[in-house]
Amino acid sequence: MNRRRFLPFLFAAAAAATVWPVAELAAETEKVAPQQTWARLRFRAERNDDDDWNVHPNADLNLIEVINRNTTLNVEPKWYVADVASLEEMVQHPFLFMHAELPPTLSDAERANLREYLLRGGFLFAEDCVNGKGRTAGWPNNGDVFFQRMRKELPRIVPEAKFELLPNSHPIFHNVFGFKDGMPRMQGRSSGLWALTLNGRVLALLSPCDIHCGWANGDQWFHPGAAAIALRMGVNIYVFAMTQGE
Amino acid sequence: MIADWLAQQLAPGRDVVWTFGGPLAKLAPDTAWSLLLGVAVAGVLAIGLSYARALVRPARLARGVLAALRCALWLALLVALAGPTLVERKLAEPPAPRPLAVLVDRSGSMVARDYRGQTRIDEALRRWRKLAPAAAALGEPKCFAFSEQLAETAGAEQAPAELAAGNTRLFGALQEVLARAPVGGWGGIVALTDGLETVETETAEPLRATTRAAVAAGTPLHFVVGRNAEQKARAFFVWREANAPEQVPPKSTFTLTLTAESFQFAPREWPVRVTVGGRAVDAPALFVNAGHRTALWQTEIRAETPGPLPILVEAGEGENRSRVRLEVEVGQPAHPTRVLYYEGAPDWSRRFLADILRRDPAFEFSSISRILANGRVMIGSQGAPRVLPANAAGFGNVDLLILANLSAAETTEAQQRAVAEWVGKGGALLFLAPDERGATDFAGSELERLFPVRFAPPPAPMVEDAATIVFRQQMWRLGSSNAAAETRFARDVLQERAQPELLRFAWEPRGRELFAEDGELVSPIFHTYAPVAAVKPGAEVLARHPRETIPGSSERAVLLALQRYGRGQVAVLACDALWRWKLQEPSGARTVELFWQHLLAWLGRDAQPGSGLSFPRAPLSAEVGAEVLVEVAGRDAPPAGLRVNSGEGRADTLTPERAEGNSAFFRWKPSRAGLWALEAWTTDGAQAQHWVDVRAVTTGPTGENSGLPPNLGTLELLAGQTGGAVLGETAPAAWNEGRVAPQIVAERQVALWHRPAFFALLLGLFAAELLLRRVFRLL
Repeated sequence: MNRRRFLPFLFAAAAAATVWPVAELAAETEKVAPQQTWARLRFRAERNDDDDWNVHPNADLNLIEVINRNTTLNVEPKWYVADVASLEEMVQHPFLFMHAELPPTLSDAERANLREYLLRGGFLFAEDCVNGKGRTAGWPNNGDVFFQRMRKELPRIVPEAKFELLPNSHPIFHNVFGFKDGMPRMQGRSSGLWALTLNGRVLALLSPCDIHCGWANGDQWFHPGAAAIALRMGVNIYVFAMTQGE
Repeated sequence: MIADWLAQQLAPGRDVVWTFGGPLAKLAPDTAWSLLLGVAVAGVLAIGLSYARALVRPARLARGVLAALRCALWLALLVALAGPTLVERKLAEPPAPRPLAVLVDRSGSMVARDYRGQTRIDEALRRWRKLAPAAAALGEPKCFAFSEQLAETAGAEQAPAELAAGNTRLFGALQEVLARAPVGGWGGIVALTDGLETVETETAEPLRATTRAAVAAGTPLHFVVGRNAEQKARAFFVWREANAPEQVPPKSTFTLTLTAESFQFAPREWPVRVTVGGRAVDAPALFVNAGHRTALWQTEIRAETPGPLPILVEAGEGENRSRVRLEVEVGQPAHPTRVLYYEGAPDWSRRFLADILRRDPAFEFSSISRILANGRVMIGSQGAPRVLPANAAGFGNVDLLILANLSAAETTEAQQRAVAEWVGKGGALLFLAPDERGATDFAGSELERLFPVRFAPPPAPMVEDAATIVFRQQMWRLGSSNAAAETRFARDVLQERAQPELLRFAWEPRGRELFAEDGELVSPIFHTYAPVAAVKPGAEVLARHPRETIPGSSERAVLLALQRYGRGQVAVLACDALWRWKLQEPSGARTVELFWQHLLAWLGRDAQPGSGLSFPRAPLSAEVGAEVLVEVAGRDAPPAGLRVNSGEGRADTLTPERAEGNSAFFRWKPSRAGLWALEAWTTDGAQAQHWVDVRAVTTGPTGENSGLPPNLGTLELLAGQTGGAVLGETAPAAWNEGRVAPQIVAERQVALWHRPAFFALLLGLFAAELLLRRVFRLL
């Protein structure tokens, strides 16, 4: 590369660094915090589907990488699974991620497990995949069927908790990266970010916005820059789950 | 012999050996060569014989030439079949051994003669003479001598004329010799001494500094102890330090800790008499070992009704009776315990602890979490400082500071000093290190001085597991979505599910005392822990790992330990006893809450404000006629005055010598024996008292010629912590490691028969013989 080609390249790189906060901060430092785990919740969905819960697992790994590179948090770059039928598995992880296209079908025992997990101090982030492995093709009113089902399930699991849409001023939209318009949407119907709150603590979050698919391949599937937006919101959610109450 | 000769011809000046193939492979090179020579000679004879008895007999010259060619071919073939290989090795230059430094203590106690005319230095030098030949393997040792000064000498036996036999500056001399090390450092320092430091009055910090310097230089400290018949000294016993909370709640129990200094000719147990509120209570006896020692004594005191609670502790007898008088205020806490939780990097523990403490009105919880590595994003409670304060005043509203996942590199020296100063003035610090990452290298830092333990070195950085890396690469190639691959990956992950092993604390007796509630003992569950390398002298271990041991020791790994630091205290919890434990317990259980509330309340118990007046520097005992320096500190300003009262009608008001900040300094010379009360007061009417037990004589002579036995305990501690030893008449094994066999750094094997020139020679010989046979008309 000669000087004529190198200088514009240098300027472009410098400009990109100033407009891309994730890249700007990507100076990985030696981690002093203990390793935290990232776990998917395994569950059965409608039509007896046992393969919808694991959609786009690489997206989770992308988010873990961004969290580790940009914050002092230390999340193990690995993917664990906790079955909703096993409380013993769930309590190994303080944070569980639940993601699918199809509506989950939870038994009473599984609801009891989820309730106990949340009351002990666990945190659940549930998100609608909208269109992942193409399982909702032909489903009536597809677009947020997972979200609609979970919107009924969460208040049923912890009825004494408050279930409400979070305002754009909520700390979760401002703790690390700023989202003045609230929850960013990748696809599906726009319904914002919902929280299940008990005694001032958010037990669970529910989103129909599919930022998870944004973590997977947002720039190609949605629009350029979508991946960065989705990943930044993911960082905010994980950090909020860990630091909430301030 | 043959092999060596041949090797030298082929590779002159190189270190070579031979190996053989085929049936000769297992034979020594000389045997193989000899065997080969025998077969060769037999072959040559057979060839000579066959040409001699040929049917067509050529001329003698032709026969000779043909036989010679056939013999040469035979010999070359034999060599090829034997397959000799020349092995050429390059040996590393052995590293130059690091020299030893020999440090000879020529202070008063070492050169004083006993009734037999023997000195301690004679004894130490006698032992050294036996060790010197082994030490010479590391090169000529460099010799030094010291008393209060340090001087270089030509040999260990030589006493420099300029060195006066005075006090012993052992720690200073060791540090100075370490600083004078040659490039690469000393291979060890051998000190010929009795270990009686008489320059430093407080030895804990010099000992730590010397250990740090030696460990950093990788230099073990060895000691050759000089002994002789000891002169008689006077035994004594005196209380030196007392620790009790200023204020405690009614119907509570608190710990009273006293430190005694004593010199005894034999181990003994002193009965301790304790009077609380005018009533005698049972208390444990104090065991003191022989020699000059400090000993810790503790007892639990019960506080019942509100009001001042006078406590009197007495031990010793006759002129060695020592008394401590103090007063604890019994009353309801003036405010909740104010907890500040600072995490250098967040994990889930803070959130779980916040949930527990926010529901308890006895605590006021705030926190700061450092989210970005550069500190640009800090998440903190309202009213909490945005960063860790860099001066002690910044902790003005904090009773208990919790530091979690802190990196020494990311914490400035000013911040560390501020924490140390604040703890020294009475703050309580809890350091959380959930695993080895949370205990990064604090060696030599200001904070490390506070900790009751030293942590083992940090681990290697984390790595992704191979299966995850392969899956991610697959997804990148596929464009990040493939249902079949995702299902396959999830199935693989499900196969490797395993529950982490959860363990319970193994309580030490003191931990049981503190954490048993109505006879029930709560034992936290943990999974990861930070390995502790050593427990500091004077620290108290409350809980240990049920199984694992401290590396290089038979002691079990430490999970919870604490020590007093100044007027405050520091606890270290070296495991993840929070979120994982809480998630394991049923949501209705309160065991986790009980443990943490109990631990934090106990740590923060000293924090309740008293009168605002304190005595940061004031002795518990003094001698008649000997001057005493007293420092009295006010909360916002120096005290208005200080009065000394003998309790028998003698009272004097002292004039401050000087004032510094909130403190005033007074000099006082007690005129008679008795339990004197020092009463300080402020302009706004606050008062505080401190009692001094004045005796005719408190301590025996502790100078150079006091007849004290060698301080073997300190020398063993120094040696143990630096990898050295207190030497008898056997040299350490490490001194012999300087004479290790040279290492092979490169090896080249040359198969002799495998060279093209060799095959050309074989062919040449064969062809020459054929041609000559044709010429001689034998074909």
